[in-house]
Amino acid sequence: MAKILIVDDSRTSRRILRTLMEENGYTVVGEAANGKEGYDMCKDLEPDVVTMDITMPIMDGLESLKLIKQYRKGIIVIMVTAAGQQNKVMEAIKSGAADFITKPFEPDRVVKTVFNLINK
Amino acid sequence: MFDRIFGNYLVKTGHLTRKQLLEIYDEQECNRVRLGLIAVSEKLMTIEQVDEINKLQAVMDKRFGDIAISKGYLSNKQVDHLLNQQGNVYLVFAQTMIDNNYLSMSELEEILLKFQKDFGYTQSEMDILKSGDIDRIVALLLNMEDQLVREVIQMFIRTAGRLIDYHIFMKEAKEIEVFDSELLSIQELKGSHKIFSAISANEDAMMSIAIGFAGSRFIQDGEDSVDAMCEFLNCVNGLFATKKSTEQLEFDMVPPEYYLEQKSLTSKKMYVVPMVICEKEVDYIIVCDNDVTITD
Repeated sequence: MAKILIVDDSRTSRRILRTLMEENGYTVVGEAANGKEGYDMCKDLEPDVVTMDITMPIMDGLESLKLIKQYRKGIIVIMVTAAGQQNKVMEAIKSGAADFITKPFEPDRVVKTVFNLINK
Repeated sequence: MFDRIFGNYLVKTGHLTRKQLLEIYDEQECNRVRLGLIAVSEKLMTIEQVDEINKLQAVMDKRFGDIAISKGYLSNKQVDHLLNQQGNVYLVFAQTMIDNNYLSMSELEEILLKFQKDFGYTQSEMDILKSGDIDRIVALLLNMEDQLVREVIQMFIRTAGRLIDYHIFMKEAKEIEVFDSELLSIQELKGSHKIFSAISANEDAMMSIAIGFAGSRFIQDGEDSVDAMCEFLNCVNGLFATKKSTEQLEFDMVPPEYYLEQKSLTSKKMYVVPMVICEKEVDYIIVCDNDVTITD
């Protein structure tokens, strides 16, 4: 089963995503609370999929995405965003993000997005 | 919202007990039919279309009827028809109260007149209160010049009504310079304007509204609750930024933060709007284009 890394500064969002992933048979290999931690954990844990929040302290999701894609081009990065960040989502897609999901999470959509990308 | 404001007035003035009021709210809730359900029963929409719109509502600041129109599922005329079928929330409240023999119709009219006099509302303002139109009600209750602040507060109430508690209501807003918080979740928007917003409440209230937002399985302690409310602020502010982007105003969202210990917020001009969400008192704090200092 695919290995997932969750990068989000909100512990509630991390907990919701972890629960959704685990309930659908995925293995969550790690959780990071900012983009820098996410990039470092990505190198250590070699996940198949990263869910990446956009607005985070220390290093935001866009910068982290760019570093991760430089490190491993084929990794699937799904951006996580509240409404109101369309420009950043567009920039993320241009920088190699595979798709995006919105907060508050709609469980079916989250699971479907991950499933579709892994089984592409 | 007026059903909640007037309901509390009835308790405060001794016309109803708190227990009676809660019974009325329960019954009223059972009587409230969702627009989607009416649309399906009237064969104007399919269940799949209703589900699709319910999901979209979680991420869009739009009413059910507006999305249905934009998707081409309903016409303006059909939405008006459905709204008529659904009925006015205040009227359902009043009807429930009368049906339970807590008040007669003439007593109710008498108390409404007293309420109008006590708060100095004109007849047209009373009509706005009873209309159920959240934006007009909030504008009336806030009674403030600052349009941007008013719009942020309207967005907060609409979003909280949709994502946390349909029966949210606000009390009189205060303009102050210093605010002593309890548990505190904050977020700033930067760009065309600098907007600081925060939610402050005691742990019990913060837990209740956070559970209303994220669900009880994800909220176990006070820290979870302030974290979840940061996410809620993020949703409100994101929707606000999207709305203002159509007016060529650009906003960047700063990562939200929370504090578990009491803080003192200071600013030249700060609005505090007491709200009741999930039957708990919380304060929504908003500052526009002024610096905010947070100290112990």
